[in-house]
Amino acid sequence: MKTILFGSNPRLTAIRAGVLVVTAIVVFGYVLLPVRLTGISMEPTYTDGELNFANRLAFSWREPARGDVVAIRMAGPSVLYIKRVIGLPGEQIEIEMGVVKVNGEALLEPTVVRKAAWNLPALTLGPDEYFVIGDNRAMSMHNHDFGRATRDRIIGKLLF
Amino acid sequence: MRKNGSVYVSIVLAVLVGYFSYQWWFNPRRAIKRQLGELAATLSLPPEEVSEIDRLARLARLRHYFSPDVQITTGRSGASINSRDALIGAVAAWKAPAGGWNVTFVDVQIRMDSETTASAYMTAEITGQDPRTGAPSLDAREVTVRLAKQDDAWVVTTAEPTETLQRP
Repeated sequence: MKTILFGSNPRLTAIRAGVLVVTAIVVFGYVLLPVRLTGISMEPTYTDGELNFANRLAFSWREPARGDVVAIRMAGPSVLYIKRVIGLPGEQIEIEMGVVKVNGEALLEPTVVRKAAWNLPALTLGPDEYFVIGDNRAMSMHNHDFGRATRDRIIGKLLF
Repeated sequence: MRKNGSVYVSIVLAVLVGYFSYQWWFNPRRAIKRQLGELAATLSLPPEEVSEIDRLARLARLRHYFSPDVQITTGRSGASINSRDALIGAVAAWKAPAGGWNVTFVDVQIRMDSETTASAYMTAEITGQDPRTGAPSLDAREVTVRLAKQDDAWVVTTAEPTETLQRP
């Protein structure tokens, strides 16, 4: 029984188990943050209840780019917004009858299937601000959380 | 040698017991966290709360967590509640959804402004059930709360939401 549980070399088994635990704590605590998506604002790309990971190292060597699906922290990393970056620092963003315009030009959004007639007056992003929004534009604009997020709030990029 | 060892172990143990006792009972940050946790539990609506007495008892408990002149700003419109009585009236008017809801405060960060005042920055998370589909629902808002120590208890004096994603 003892051999089955702890192997022929219990000391080595304990070391392996310890390494595994430490690796899991480091990877899932600091690198790949497990996230469960709640809500419909990212449909059809991501559906309610889906599991994913936020890669916290994704923006260590580069800044968020247009099209990235990012995790945005609230007071801390326990609750996150999952949104797509559509506007970069310094750009002008406007939504006219559901069409997103960046610096006056319509943005091609292949991940957005249906668009309701959303309207948002033009705004210019600050040097540290990104414009983020969900893929589900068929829902009411007032029920959809979107807008400007400062760089320090963007903590990672979704893995899948 | 053994006698000295026992003395050292006893001292270390006593220091640890003293430290954890202080953290648990006397550290103001810990007391505020505990108070906020109790407030979240009081704001939660259990699905089994069926009697009027339960509801009134819960509303009465709310008085312990707020100062009489509490200022609460709600939502994007900036509408505000300016007294504890008005707040309790507003909570009493909430229509409980089927299945209730659960309020929790997560990522709580506390800053002591003085011996009798403090600020707490946190995410308020409300989980429940979608009334149409029955699927789990989640709403979360960042909140900054200011507290003051009155009659030996920490009470909320102001509460205002912070917009995570800002839009015009």
